[in-house]
Amino acid sequence: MKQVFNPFVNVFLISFVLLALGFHFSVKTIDPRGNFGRQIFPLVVSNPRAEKMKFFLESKRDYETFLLCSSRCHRMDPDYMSRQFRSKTFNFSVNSARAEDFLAITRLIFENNTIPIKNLILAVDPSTFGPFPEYYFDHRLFHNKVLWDYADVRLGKKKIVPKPVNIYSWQFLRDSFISLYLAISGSKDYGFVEHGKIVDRTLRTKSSDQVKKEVIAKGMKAFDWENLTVLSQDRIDLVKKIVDLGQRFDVDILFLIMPYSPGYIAHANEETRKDLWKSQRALKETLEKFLGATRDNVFIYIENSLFNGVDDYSNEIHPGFQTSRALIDALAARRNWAAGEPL
Amino acid sequence: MLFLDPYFLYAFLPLTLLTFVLVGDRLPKAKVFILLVASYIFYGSWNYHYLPLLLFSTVVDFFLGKAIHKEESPGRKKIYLSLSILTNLSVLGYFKYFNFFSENLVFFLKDILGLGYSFEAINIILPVGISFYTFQSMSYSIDIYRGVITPTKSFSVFATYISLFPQLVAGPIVRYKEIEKEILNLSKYKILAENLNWGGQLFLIGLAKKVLIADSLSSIINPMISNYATASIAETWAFMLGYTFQIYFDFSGYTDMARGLGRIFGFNFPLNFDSPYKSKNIGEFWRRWHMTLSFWLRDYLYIPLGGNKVGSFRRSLNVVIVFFLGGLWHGANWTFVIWGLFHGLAISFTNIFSSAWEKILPHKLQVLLTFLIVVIGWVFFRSDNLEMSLSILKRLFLMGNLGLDTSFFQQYWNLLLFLSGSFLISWALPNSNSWEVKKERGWAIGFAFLLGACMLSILSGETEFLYYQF
Repeated sequence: MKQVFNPFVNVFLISFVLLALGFHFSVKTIDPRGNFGRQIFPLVVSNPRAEKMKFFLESKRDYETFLLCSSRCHRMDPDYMSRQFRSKTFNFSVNSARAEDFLAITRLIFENNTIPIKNLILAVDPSTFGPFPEYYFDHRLFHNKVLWDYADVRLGKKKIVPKPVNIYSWQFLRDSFISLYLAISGSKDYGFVEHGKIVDRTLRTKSSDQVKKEVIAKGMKAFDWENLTVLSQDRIDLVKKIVDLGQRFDVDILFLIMPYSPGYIAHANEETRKDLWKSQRALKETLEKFLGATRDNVFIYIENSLFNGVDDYSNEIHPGFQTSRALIDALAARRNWAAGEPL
Repeated sequence: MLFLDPYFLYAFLPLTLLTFVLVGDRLPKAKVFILLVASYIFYGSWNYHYLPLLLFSTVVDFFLGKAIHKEESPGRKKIYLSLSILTNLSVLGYFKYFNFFSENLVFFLKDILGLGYSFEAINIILPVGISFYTFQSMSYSIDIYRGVITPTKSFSVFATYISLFPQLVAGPIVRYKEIEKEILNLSKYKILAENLNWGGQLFLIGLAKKVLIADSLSSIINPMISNYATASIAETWAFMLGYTFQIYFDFSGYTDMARGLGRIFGFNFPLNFDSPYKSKNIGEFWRRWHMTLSFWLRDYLYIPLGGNKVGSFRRSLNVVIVFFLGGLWHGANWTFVIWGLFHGLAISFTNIFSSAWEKILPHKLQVLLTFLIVVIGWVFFRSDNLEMSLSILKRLFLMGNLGLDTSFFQQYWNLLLFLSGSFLISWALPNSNSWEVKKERGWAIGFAFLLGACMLSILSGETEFLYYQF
């Protein structure tokens, strides 16, 4: 055994173990993406669950309209929405939101808003109902102690435990360094202010051509639509609970199916496009059939042409400010449903 | 289980090593058996249904090898040898080429001759490493027939030779005589610090070549290649150069890992790469690239066909035949056949004009031209079909939009960085064959960081060896 554990091997093994442990504890402590609820260092990706909840709870909590969405709606300006809807609005969009986030946030606002809520806009996409538990379950909800209390812990019959985050990656290491840099330089550019409005100084939008190039560079497989053609019943049930709550409190619930970059739709390959339409159809049918929604409160804006949207996206799925504004206009006017079915 | 699999790195390899040391020290004769069991576990972890196939090939050649050796009648010797070759080629033919030949036969009968045949492909899984272990097995029988070796009496020794996990699935193709002494004396072998350190260091160098260079290149160029039809000339050159280095670092990385592991367990596997992109002509390239396959084809195919002792036309024809079969060995697809023929013709051409090639062209230009010929050859190798090959070739030969603007550099700066590094490593640095064992602590810490970097890359994404499919 002495030959095996010779001085060179010993130094190598000890160094590797120390390196691995050092990496593990540093990255978990820095927690650059807010997966572990540390919040000691600045997050590389802002944590809207924590930030927006803080702004909401510290406000007068006198909102009539709430927008619940994933990061796709970050650029929807709540002040502009308030003007267009003539109703004070809070944008409660949180990154990678799924049905469980929607339910937790709905319960939070229903319990804490000081005046009756009139409108609840749920901006959804197929991944809102991604298969559970295989499909991504967000650690940022799991580790947000307040929101987690409002989340439905009886999600189906399955125990809710997020899949372990793989912190052993170059991307996590890079984010940790960025987080440390942000802590030192104090130059964090991305965050939220009151009413859930985004403060966006650095995020830029891209033309259809740029999106096309990036889509091509990624091999047009940015999203695994095939996995999203069948929606999770667990997550549908969670949204049903929101609908029930809405009915009980006489809140008008609108479903908004989010659009895609024209560059993405135009240049995605045939198979991807087919799966995309299929998942959208499943979404529409789910909203209409299972959730009891009617054509009056389901709005599909899958293509720019349906809501006068402009070619203003930051990538395949995230509308820029102009497109977000066009979406708000269309929603405020309650038009475009008659524009025909893109499916 | 791949060499890159954390299960291999953290469970299989340490356990095998510890068993080899702890049990082997007490029961020296068990060492062969330990390696045999470990090798079958390694292979079975991919798909245990194919273990009987490996065993079948082993049993057949073990007994036929003995029969060839015992038999005094030349005629019967030949029959036994033919039987061994036929069995191996049948196994290879069925699993690797059945669908390919059937499809082409039906195409010929139906579309060319107008006969009413149809064919439905059978779902045959290609057993990993089948091309490697059948060639190894055949070389054993042929070498016994030629009197180069005497067959081993021990079945476990022969089964270990065929299934030795460090080189089972992607080479190098080891001939029995190359490790005969080591495998027969395995019971006396004790793992030495020097072997362990040298083998471990070479393994890590190979791992780094594979995951830090080849896989990084792959993640950049694969999306580009999947959109080859709309790529510009600059993009096409960029992804083909990227592939040229990807396959080199992928396969030579694997070979380093195999050789490193071999050394740990007391085997000196033959060299498989010797800086092939430094070659001055295509013939030299094949003496530096996948050397064990080249030498196998030379010794068991080219020389029996007449070798260099025939006229220049026949010699050229033999080269083309050998490379046609060499191409087919890589895969059941016309693209591999064309790739093989392309190299065969290139060698024949340089053989005929060798003196002019060497006299007229300066050394560096010879290297550059040879490199470019190899790049063009890789077009066929990488393409899914001939249409794709032609489309890529058109762009390589400057037909289409140049696309060499500032956005190209902005978009592919990382690829250009990798290409520059790859050129530097493969043209300017000594290769890993000349690696000398390092003993200093600084190196030990450096290798720990290298393993850490490799692990981050492995855990960041999926990875697979290109040569596993052959």
